[in-house]
Amino acid sequence: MYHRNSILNGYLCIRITGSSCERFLFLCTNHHIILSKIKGTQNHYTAFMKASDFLKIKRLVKKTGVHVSIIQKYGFPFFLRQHRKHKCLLLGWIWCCFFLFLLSLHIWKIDICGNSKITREQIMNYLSDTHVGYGTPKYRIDCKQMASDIRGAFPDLTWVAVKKQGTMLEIDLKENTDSNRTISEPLSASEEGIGSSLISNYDGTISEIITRKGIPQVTAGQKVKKGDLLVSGEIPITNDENEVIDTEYVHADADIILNISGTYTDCFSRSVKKTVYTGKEQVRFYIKMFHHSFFQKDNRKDDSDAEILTEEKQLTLFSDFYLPVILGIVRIHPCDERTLFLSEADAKKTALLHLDKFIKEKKEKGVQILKKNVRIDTGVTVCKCICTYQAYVSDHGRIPAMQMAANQEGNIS
Amino acid sequence: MEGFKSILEAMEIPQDSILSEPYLQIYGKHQINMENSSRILKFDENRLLIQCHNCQLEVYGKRLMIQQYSSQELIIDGIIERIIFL
Repeated sequence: MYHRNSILNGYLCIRITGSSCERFLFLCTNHHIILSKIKGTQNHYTAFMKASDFLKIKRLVKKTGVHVSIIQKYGFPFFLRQHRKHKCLLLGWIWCCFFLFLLSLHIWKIDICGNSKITREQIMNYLSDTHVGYGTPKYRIDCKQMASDIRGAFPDLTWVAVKKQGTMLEIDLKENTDSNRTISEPLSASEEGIGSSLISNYDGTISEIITRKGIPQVTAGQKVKKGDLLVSGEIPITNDENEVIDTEYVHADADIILNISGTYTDCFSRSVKKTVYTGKEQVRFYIKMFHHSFFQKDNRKDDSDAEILTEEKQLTLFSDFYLPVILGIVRIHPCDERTLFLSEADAKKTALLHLDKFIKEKKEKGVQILKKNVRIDTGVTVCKCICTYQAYVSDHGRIPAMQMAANQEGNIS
Repeated sequence: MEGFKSILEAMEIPQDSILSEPYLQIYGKHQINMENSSRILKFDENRLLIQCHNCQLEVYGKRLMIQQYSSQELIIDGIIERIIFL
């Protein structure tokens, strides 16, 4: 369609009749009058032109002897002229613009990205404690200050960025993903100075050891028990006569693979409770405006069980101009909890699912299961799964090096 | 004229800018963008006759419409069937 400026300034659809219409069109282009969407028939032409250009063609019309008539007027000036008597409409427009301007001065959406351990609710509770939330004026929010406050309130966060975009407050977070040590448990001052030693978390056999820092206390093939020292962070400094003159404490660092074996036992009942959908899905709609919700009437009996799924969509005027209006759909699925008796195949499937979950959890802790021997016994009422496994462990415990030295001294005395 | 053209070629100057030759860009069967057109001689929804500086150009088609007509360019929309230089 026409250019946006033309809609603002107005444009016309004209009909040109006469014997020298082509000459008129040529003169228009020579006088820098742009014509568009020209359609021709044997008797007349129709074209679109800017409203401001219409006054310029008067001389050209006279010169060429054509007749130009306006078919339709388009654009904002004509709209205003057409509705000049409808004062309420004009007032409504002005009020609408003013209302939108007022809305644009507040925050209507808070977007939190990058959180996994810290929940959205925790952050929202913290924000509401600091009087930041739905409808807070934008000028009250200092992004830099807020970012540093959030970092202070949640020590597990390593990076926080706060940004105001339209009527949306965007909070980007990065959490500390170091699984061995969280920021909430920083190295204590004493631990920092004295170093640390590596100890075994499991009973097993050392398969491989490569020491980068510290003194290895075990060799490949050696059997160790849980709590045994693997690499010491205490390095004695000796003189030429092999006498210990001082001790240096470092943070022991090594790649140690420990071969372990264990047994996993899982026993569960064959009668399980399962949710069964009993009725037809009901859909209810609601609108949230500012802090008020307008619900559709609920026909459901209160005592019946149901699975409720709520979806919300916030209205936007532009990409970042969120409005304080939220449309919601509530899907209610009536359901009932029934006790089902698992068949032999289903019981085995469930036992294997439990075992997979166990292996996954172990993997997250640094235990890689290599061989496993699984036996599933299905009884009349219970199902039992026994799994003996062999695994490699690459994750080990850490204790202060000084503590180990004290323990050894204690043992000697 | 031929000599002048060869000089332009040697100097790598586009011929349409000096000789005012019509410069056409054709988008499939649906649109023609034309520069260096002089004036429209005849136009209806099936035929458009354009006077260029050195020649005449005739466009045949269906539902022809001039999308934009200015001193710089002429944009023709519609289903284009034939273009003839006269």
